[in-house]
Amino acid sequence: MARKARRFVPLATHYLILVTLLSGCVTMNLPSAKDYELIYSGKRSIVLLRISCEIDGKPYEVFRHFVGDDDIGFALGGFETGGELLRKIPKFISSETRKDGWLYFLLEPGYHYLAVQPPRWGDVWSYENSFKSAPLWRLDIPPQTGIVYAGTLHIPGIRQKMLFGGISIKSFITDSIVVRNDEEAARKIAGDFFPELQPFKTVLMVKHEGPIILKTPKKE
Amino acid sequence: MVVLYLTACIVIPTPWTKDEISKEDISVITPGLSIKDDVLKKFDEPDVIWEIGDKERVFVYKWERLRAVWAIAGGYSATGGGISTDEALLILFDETDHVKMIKKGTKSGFESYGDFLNRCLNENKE
Repeated sequence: MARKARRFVPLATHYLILVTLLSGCVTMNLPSAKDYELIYSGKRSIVLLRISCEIDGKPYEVFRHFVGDDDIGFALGGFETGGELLRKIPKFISSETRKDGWLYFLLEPGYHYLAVQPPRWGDVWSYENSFKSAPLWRLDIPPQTGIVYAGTLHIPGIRQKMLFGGISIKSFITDSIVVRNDEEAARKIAGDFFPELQPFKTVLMVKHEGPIILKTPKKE
Repeated sequence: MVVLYLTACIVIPTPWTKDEISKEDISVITPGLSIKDDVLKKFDEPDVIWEIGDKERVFVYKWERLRAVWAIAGGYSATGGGISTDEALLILFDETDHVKMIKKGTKSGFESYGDFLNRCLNENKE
């Protein structure tokens, strides 16, 4: 028994270290059976978004690396957080759609607020705080909607030259961020990957200023 | 053992609040009589506007109550932080913008903000 325990402890430790190391890595993360249950019951919707980025007028592939949020950081706030923005790692559908900037979140019906930031170049605390002063985009998720396309956030960025070659994003030109509509492509992705989820709706996110508005359906 | 002896932990109670709305402030708002403009005049814009269905909405004014500050020091390094609770004033309006309910609440550390808002509203209805 003692020998078994002696063998188990280092094995479990190695496993934990491996899980910790891999937790920040990107996985193509399609919804689980439990997620589908939540979607069918109307408690959640798949919210499809696209990020298109450019540096010096040239398209820049924003999700190039293997870490989930290395080129762009996301924070979301909604009813459950009282509007407070919390960091959120996006989910990706496939490596091809990821290359084109597509991602999704699983969200409840109601209003949600999205803030994006360029990659972290300083300490973690300042970076987390920077989301609070970032421009907010309001997502309106209608009830009983399987899949919602919330728009394409087009973000012009300023170049950061890397020490060993290559470039990254130093900062976003926030005044020039706009929402574009790629509904046709979104419909194709929805049809290819989530054909069983209905209805599909396009509700483009809007820039939000002023007090946070939360929305919940009236309970009977 | 040596490391344990050289480690110190301190907790200092600090009853301090920022932007708290007092009972006296609340007493000027009367459910059934006061309207949205009275609330805005007294408390300014809310931190959060919660829309429930199409007819009702709640103004939420948030503040934080700092209960204590703590610090742990060991060797050449130290860290610290605050122990605080979230509190809020909820003012529910009907479809004619009349105040229907006014309530102060404290969020428990174990509930989400959404659960806290729902609890505050339902407690008053019971």
